[in-house]
Amino acid sequence: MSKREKTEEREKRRKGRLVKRIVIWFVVLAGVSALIFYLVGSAGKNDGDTTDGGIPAVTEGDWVKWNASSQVVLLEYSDFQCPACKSYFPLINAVGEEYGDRVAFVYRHYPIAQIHFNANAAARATEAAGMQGKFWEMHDILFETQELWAPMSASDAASVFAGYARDMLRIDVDKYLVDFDSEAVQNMVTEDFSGAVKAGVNSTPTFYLNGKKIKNPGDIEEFRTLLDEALSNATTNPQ
Amino acid sequence: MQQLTPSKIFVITLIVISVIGFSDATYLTAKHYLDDPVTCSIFKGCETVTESKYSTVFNIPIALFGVFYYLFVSVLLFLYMEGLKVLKLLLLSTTSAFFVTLFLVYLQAFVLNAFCMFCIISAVSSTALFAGTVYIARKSRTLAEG
Repeated sequence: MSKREKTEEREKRRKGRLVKRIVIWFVVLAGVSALIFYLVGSAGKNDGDTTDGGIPAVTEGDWVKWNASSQVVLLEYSDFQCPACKSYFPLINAVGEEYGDRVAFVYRHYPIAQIHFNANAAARATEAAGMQGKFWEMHDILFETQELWAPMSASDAASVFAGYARDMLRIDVDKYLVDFDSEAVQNMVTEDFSGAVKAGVNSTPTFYLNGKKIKNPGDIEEFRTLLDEALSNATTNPQ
Repeated sequence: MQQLTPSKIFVITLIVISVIGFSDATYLTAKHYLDDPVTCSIFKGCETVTESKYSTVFNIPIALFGVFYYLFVSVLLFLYMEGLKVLKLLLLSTTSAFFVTLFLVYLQAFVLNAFCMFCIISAVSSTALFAGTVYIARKSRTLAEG
C-alpha cells in the first residue's frame, strides 16, 4: 500500500466512524423524544380518572341552571379570571342550548388566587349579585369582560364589578356592596374551593359528570358523547 | 486545524445545551399533540402561551420547529467537534434562531402578557447556543490571526 492509499484508507475509516456516531446520536435523540411523548401521553390519560375523593354533593346552596331536576348533573369548578375557563364559556353555552332541557349544570368557585389576583373578588361579585337573583347574569358578564378587569388593581376591579351590578344588572348596588364585602359571601366561595381541594382538584376548569371527574372535553362532540351516555344510563337505571 | 478549536469541553457543553433545548421543545410538541385542552393551575399557571394563535405557524406548532432546530445544531456541533468546517453554518443557524427567540419572548412579554416556563427554558438555551458559537467563532479567528 502506498502512502496515499494509506491516507485514503484512514480518511475512509474516519468518515465511516463519523457516520456511525451520527446515526447513534439520532437514535439516542429519537429515544429521548419517544420517552417524552410516552410520559406526556400517559400523564394525560391518568388525568381523567383520578378520583382522589368525591366532591361535596350538590345541595340547595349550589348554583344550578338548565334542567335543575335532572338526574344528569354536569358540574364545573371554574375561575372567572382563568383564560381557559373563559374559552369554555361559549362551549358550555352551546352545550346548554342542546342539552339544557335534559341536563343540570352546576357552577362552583375555584379561584386560583395565587396567579389570578382578581379571581376571588370576581367570585364574590357573582355571589353578591346572586343574593339578588342575578348570579348567572354576573357570571356571564364577568367571563365576557375578563380581559378588561383581569389586569386591574383590586380596587379598580371591584368598582368595575359594582358598575356591572348597577348599570347592567340594575340591582340594588348598596346591598350588593355590603354583600360583596360580607363574610357570608366570602364563605360561599371558600366553601366551594375547599371542597374541591379536598377532592384533589388542582386546575381549572375541572368538570364532573354525576360526581365523577371527567377529562376536559375538547369540543362539543366530546360533550355530546359523554352526556348522551349519561342520559341513556339515567333512563335505563332510574334512581 | 486542531489547535484552532476551543476546548472540547466547551463544545460538549454546547451539545448538552442543545440536548436540553431539544428535550424541552419535544416536551412542548408532545403537549401540543397529546395533552388536554387548556387549563389553569396553581403550579403550571395558564397555558395561554402554548395555546395562543402565535403558538403555531401553518398549523405546525412552533415547538416542532424548535425540535428540528436543536437537532440540527446538535449534529453541527458534533461535526464541528470532529473537525469539519461547519462553523459558518453553525453561526448562521444560532444567530437566526436567536432572533426568532427574541421575537417569541417579545410576544410573551408584550402581546400575550404571559410566559410559559418551558418556552423560557428554550429561550435561555437558544441564547446560550448563540453566545457560545459567537465565542467559538471569535476565538477561532483570533487564533487564526495570531
